[in-house]
Amino acid sequence: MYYLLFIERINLKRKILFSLLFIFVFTHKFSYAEKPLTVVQEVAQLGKFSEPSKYPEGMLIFFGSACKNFTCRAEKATKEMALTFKRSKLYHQRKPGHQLYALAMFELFYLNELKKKEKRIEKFILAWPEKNKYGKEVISLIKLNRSKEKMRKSLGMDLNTSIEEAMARYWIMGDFLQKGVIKKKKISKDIKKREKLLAKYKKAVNKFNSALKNKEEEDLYNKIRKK
Amino acid sequence: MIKKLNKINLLILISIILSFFLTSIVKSDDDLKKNYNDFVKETTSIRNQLNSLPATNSTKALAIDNAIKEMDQAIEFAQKNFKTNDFEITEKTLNFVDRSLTDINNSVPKEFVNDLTVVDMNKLKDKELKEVYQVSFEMKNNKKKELTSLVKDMAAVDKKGLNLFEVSKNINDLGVKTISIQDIAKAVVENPAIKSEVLESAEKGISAEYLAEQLAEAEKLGIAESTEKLSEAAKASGFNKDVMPSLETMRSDFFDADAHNAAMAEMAEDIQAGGIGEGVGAAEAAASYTAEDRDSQKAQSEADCTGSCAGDTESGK
Repeated sequence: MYYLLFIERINLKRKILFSLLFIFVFTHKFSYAEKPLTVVQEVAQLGKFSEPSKYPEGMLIFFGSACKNFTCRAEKATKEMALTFKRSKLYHQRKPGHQLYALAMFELFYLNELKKKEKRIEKFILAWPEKNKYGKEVISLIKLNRSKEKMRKSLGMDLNTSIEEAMARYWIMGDFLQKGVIKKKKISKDIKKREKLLAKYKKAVNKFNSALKNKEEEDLYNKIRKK
Repeated sequence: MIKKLNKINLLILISIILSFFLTSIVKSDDDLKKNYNDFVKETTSIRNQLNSLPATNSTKALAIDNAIKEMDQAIEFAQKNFKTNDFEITEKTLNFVDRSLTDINNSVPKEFVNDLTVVDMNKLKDKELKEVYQVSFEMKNNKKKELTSLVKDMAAVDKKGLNLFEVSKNINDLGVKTISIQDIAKAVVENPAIKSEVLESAEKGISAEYLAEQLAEAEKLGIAESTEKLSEAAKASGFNKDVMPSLETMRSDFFDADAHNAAMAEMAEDIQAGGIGEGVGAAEAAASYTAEDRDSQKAQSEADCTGSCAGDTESGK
């Protein structure tokens, strides 16, 4: 009699334990499913490579007559873009249109990266979620795509905007800003010092705020990395 | 004996489950904690540097200093909430700090100013005109959405103990243009759903009479300034220069040169802060890697390996 009661108690404990385990595994697994985009959806947003059918006029002049195929154009654009992004704040104040030209070139850089990694993305999708094949490359593309989305959004575009349209809009806005007249003013040392510190302050706040906002994105990257 | 063993088994199993669960939480929060520590270190250092700047007679510099000091309580409030794991309020407070710092920065005189008022719109092609107006329109729309979201954030932060409407008013009183009572009134009129919660918080920080006055004004203006109306007007004009409104009207209704300049400056800051720079460094390295670089790298590695590296690489076999 006591023996039977004892066995029953043990079974009850096991049942409770297994229920706990089940609840934990279930909630843990589904915490990912509640995220706005799954890994597969995110990868689908990367798009497919297709050579642009037209380029802005100014961009064609920049490429020159010798650089006619996509690879040459994308590489030339990437070089110029990297150079522009590295320029100082003062340079951008003096040449306000150049960063917009660089954003048009960023579109080509992204497309070229997509072209280079297209087969790896296919292999990633085929292997996912059982295996993580080329996860690092996929994460880097997702990050670039998000940057592209952010920059497009500031000029009223989104990921559905075609590359031709996006490049045209960036270029036109660049030309437009270049049409203004740059006026130089004398600024006191007091103001310059404060401007520098303000920029640092803003950068520190922005960095931490982005980390808070990107917590969800980081979880997605970690999910790929940990596979 | 069996009872004891079972208890131990149960304890071990529960510990395993708990430790697995806790490590998965702790791991994802580790990076955030590191970011937080960097944030505290950097902002404390910047605030110390600002406080130790030599005294100035410039009214502009003084206004900037005092406006930045207004941020102190918001920064401390964000830190306090992060420590209690209230990430939502931390983020909302920092959204306000970010916007205020942008406004303070915009009030700082710039060495180079792009004067876009000299651009002759009549000389632009139709396609160019269309794009410029469309971008201006989208920027105006984005600005409205951001303002509404920020005003909502400010009301949420007030419920947790810090009235950002008052902070904002103090900055405006210093002569630095930031979110004003008029802006708050406009946001409320365009989004009646947030009216009660925003007004409840706003009235604690700013004069209720003045707010009511501005609300009435915004309600009158709201009809003329509504997004739909702007959109309709833009569509009706067909973005065609022949039927475009006068240059002055365009400047006030659609085109805001200062806003364009500020948006471009912000974009540049974003890029430089790494918003778009990730991956570009590698791209730059790959794109600028020439045959000469390869040769010099090879020569360098051969010089470094005199005699001892042979066979380490495939080429060395």
